Amino acid sequence: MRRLLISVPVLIGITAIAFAALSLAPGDPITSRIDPGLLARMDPAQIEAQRRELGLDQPVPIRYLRWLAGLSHGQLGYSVATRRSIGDELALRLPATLQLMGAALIIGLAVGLPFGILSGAKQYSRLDYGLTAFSMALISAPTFFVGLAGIYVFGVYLHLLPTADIATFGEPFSILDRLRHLLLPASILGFANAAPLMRYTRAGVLEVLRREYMTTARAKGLLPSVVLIRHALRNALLPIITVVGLLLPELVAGAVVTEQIFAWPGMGTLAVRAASDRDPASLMGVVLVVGVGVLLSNLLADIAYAVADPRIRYT
Amino acid sequence: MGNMSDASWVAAAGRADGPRAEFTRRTVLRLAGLAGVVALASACQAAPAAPAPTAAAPAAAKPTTPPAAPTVAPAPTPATATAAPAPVPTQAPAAQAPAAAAGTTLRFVWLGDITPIWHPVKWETFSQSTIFVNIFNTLAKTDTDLHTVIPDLAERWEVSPDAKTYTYFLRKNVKWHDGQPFTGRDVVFTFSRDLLNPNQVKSRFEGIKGADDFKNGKTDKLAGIELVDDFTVRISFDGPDANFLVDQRDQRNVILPEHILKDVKPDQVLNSDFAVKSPIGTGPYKFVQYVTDQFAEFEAFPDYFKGKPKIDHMIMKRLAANVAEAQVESGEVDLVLRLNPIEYERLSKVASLNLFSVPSPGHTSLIFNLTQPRLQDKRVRQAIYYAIDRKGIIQALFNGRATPRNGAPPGLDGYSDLNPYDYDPDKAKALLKEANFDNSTPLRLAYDQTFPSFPQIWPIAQQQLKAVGIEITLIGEDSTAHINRSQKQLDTFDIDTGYGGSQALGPSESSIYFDCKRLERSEGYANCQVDDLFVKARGTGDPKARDDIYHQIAKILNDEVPRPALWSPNDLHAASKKLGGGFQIYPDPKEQFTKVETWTLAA
Repeated sequence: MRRLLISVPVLIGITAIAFAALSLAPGDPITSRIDPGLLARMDPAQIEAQRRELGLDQPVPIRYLRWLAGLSHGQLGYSVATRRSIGDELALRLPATLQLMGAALIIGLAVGLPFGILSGAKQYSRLDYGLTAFSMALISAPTFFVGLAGIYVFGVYLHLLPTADIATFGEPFSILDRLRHLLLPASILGFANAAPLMRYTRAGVLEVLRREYMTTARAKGLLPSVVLIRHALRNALLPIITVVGLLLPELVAGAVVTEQIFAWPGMGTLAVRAASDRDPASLMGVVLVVGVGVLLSNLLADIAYAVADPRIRYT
Repeated sequence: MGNMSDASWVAAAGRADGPRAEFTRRTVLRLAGLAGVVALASACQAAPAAPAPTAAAPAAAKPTTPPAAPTVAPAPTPATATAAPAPVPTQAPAAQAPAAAAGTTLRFVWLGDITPIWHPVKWETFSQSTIFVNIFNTLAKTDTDLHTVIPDLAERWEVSPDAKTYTYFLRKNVKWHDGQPFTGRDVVFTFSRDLLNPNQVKSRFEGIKGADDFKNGKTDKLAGIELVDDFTVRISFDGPDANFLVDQRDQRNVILPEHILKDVKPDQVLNSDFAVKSPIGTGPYKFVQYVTDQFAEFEAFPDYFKGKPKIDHMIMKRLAANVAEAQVESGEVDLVLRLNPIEYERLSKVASLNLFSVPSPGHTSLIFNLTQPRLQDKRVRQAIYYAIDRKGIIQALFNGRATPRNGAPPGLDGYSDLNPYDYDPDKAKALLKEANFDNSTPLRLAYDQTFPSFPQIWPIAQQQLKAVGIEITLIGEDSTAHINRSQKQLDTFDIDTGYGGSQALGPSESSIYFDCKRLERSEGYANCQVDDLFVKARGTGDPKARDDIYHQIAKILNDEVPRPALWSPNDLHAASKKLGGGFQIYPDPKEQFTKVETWTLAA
C-alpha cells in the first residue's frame, strides 16, 4: 500500500518532466499541421483564435497545472490534431498495444526462459554456443532493422505473412486474419526481448548450479531434470523476475518502434505522431498510460518476489 | 527498360503465383492448427485470406489475360507513364467472380497526414481532398490539362462578359447518398453558409454581392446568390472575378446537403455528426467509416449520376512510406500515390506494378529572407540562383526525373522571354563582386530534414555556393521546428527552403505568397506593385489582357527572384497492373480520383 502511494509523486514527476521537454521543443502545434499554401491564406487572428481555443496561449507552468487539474477530474484534454478527447484517443489504441505487447511478452518468455535454462544446463555445448550467438545477434541488431528485414523476407519475398497492419481492412473480422497480422510484429518484439532474458536466465542457472545444495540434491540420486527444475530454477527465478520487470518498460519502448514499422495502430504510433505534431495533450496521455504501466509492472515484480521467495515479506 | 515484354511478364507472374498461393495456404493451415481453431471454421476463414481453391485456375488463366476494357487510355497528360500500361488484354474475371461474392475492393494509400474532419470547413490536409473527391462533387472540375473547365454538378454555365455574373445550370438527375434529390437550394446553402463558418479559411465567396451584410447579420439572405429556378443558380459579384470558374474545382468548394446541415449552427459544424462520422455527398462513393490511424472505408454509390462505380469498395490506408512500398510490392495495396521519387529504380523491377513518374504541380524552392540586409540586394539573390547547378542536381539525384524551373513562380514561368538562369558560376561571382557582397559571416540556410531528398540536396548546394565564394551554414530540423522558424524567427536564418504548393496549377495561385503589407507571409519581400497586378488580373475578364498582366508579374519576379523555384520533381505513383478501365494518372494528385467510377480492378 505504501508503495502504491509512493508511485503517485513519481508519476507526477514523470509527467512534469515530459511536459517541460515537449514544451521546450521548437515548433508550434497549430501551424505544423496546416499545409503551407493554406497557411499563407490564413489570418494571424484566426491562428491566434485556434491557439486560444486549445489553451495554448498560456505560459508553460500554467498549462501544466491546468492539465493536472483536468486530470484530477478525469479530463485529459483534447488533441490538437484530431479534436477528439484524449480519453477516446487512448481507448482506441490501448487494446492494440496490449495485444502486441502481451503476445510479445508471451513469446519472449516462452523462448527466453526454456532456452536460457537449456543453455545454462548444457554450458559450452554446441547448443549453448549456438543460442549465445543467436541471442547476441538479436541484442545487437536494432529492432527497426530486424523489423524491416522481417517484412522484406516474410512479407515481400516469401509472401508468407502480411507486411503490416493489424488486420486485412475491408474484410469481415476473423481471428485467423488477426493472428496472421500479429505474428510477425509480436515475434520480432518478442525475440528482441527473449534475447536478454535468455542471457540472464543462463547466468542465473549457472550460478545456482554451482551451489552446494545442488551437489547435495544430485548426491541424493534425484533425476537431473528434477534437480534442474525444482531446485535450480526456483532459486534462479529471483534475478529473472527482476529482469522481466525491467523488460516491461523496454517492451513499451520497443513497441513504439515496432508499431511504427508495422503500421500498428497503437500507443506507439500515437506517441510518435503526437511528438512530431507537438500535440501536448496526446503525448501527455501516452506518457501517463505508459508511466502507470511501468509503475504497475514494478509493483507486480515486487509481489512476484514474495511468491518466489518466501523469505521476502512486505509490511 | 522496366518494360518487359508482355509475354515474359505474364510468364513470370504465372510462376510467382503458384508457389505463393501454396505458401499462403500452408501458413494459414499451420496457424489454424496453432490457434486450435476447429477445422470447419478454419476452412471458412481461409477462403477470403487466400484464393486457395482456385489457385491453379488463375495461374493457368492469367497468360490468356483480360479483354475487359480497352485498358487505360495511355495517360493523356505530359504524364511520362514510364512503365506504359501496355494494354495487356486483361482477362474477364468471370471465373473468379463467384468466389469474390463481396465484390472488388480497391486498396490505396495516400502518404501524408490527415485531419479526420469530413467537412470542407476544416480542410487542411491533402489526404482529405482524396476523400472529398470520392464522396462529394463540385460545380465544375478541370480536365487533366489543369485549366479546361469541365462539368460536374453543373451541366453548363454562362459567364457575363464583364465576369461579374455566373449562371450555373445544374444537372437534374443527381441524388444525395441518402436518396434525397439535389437541387439549386443546396448550392445556395453551401455558398452562403460558407461565409458564416468561423473556422473557414478565408472564404472564396467574400466578393459576392452583399457578402458583408450577410456576414454581419444585417440580412439573412445573401443578395448575390439567386435561385432562378430549382436547377439554375445565378451568382453576382461586386467586381469582376475571372478565376471563379476555375476555382470551383477546389475541394474546399464541394457542394453540401442543405437538408442535413441546415439545422447545424455554423459554429457547431466541426463537432457535427456530419463532419466527424457520417458525411453525405453526391459523389461516386459513400463514406462508410474512418478508423483512426488505420483506414477509411468507402462503398460504391449505386445511384451516382455518372453511373455506378465499377469497383465496389475502396479502402484508403494510412501508412508510413516504408510500409506502403512493401505493401504495393507484395500486392496488399493496389495504388500508392506520391512515393519517394528515389525509389523509382527499385520499384521499376517489380513486375506486378505500373510505375508513373509525373511532372508535379509542387516544386522545391529557395525563399530568400529579405529581412536580412545582405539579401535585399537582388544581385546577391540572382548570384545564388546562378550558382546552383539545378540540371546537374536533377541528373544526379533524380536521374533526370524533374523539371527545372526559372526564377518566376511556377504557373507564371512559361513565358519565353524570361531569364532561364542557366548554371553560371562566373556570372555569379561577377554579380557578387558588383554587389560588394559581405562574406564575413556565412549565410544560414534552413531546411526540413524529414523531407525526402532534402538531406541530399542542400549539402550539394552548399558546396556549389562555396565554389563562388558564399559560405553556407545548414540548419536542418524536423518539419514542426522548421515551420516555426520560418514563420516566427526571421532573424535566425537567411535562406529558407521549401517544397510543395500548388502554384503550377494556375497563374493566380502564387498570389497568396505576396503581400507587401504582411512581411511575415512573404519573408520580407515587399513589392506592392506585384500585389496590385495580381488583384488586377483577377478582375480582368478578357483572357488576353489578363495574360498580359500575368506576363508583367512574371517578368518582375523573374528579375527579382525573391523566392525562385529550383525544380519540380516528378511525383512517383505506383499502381497494380490489375487497375484498369478509365484509370489514368492526373497531373494534380489531389484530383487523382476524378473519374474513379470508370476504374476497374481485375481479380
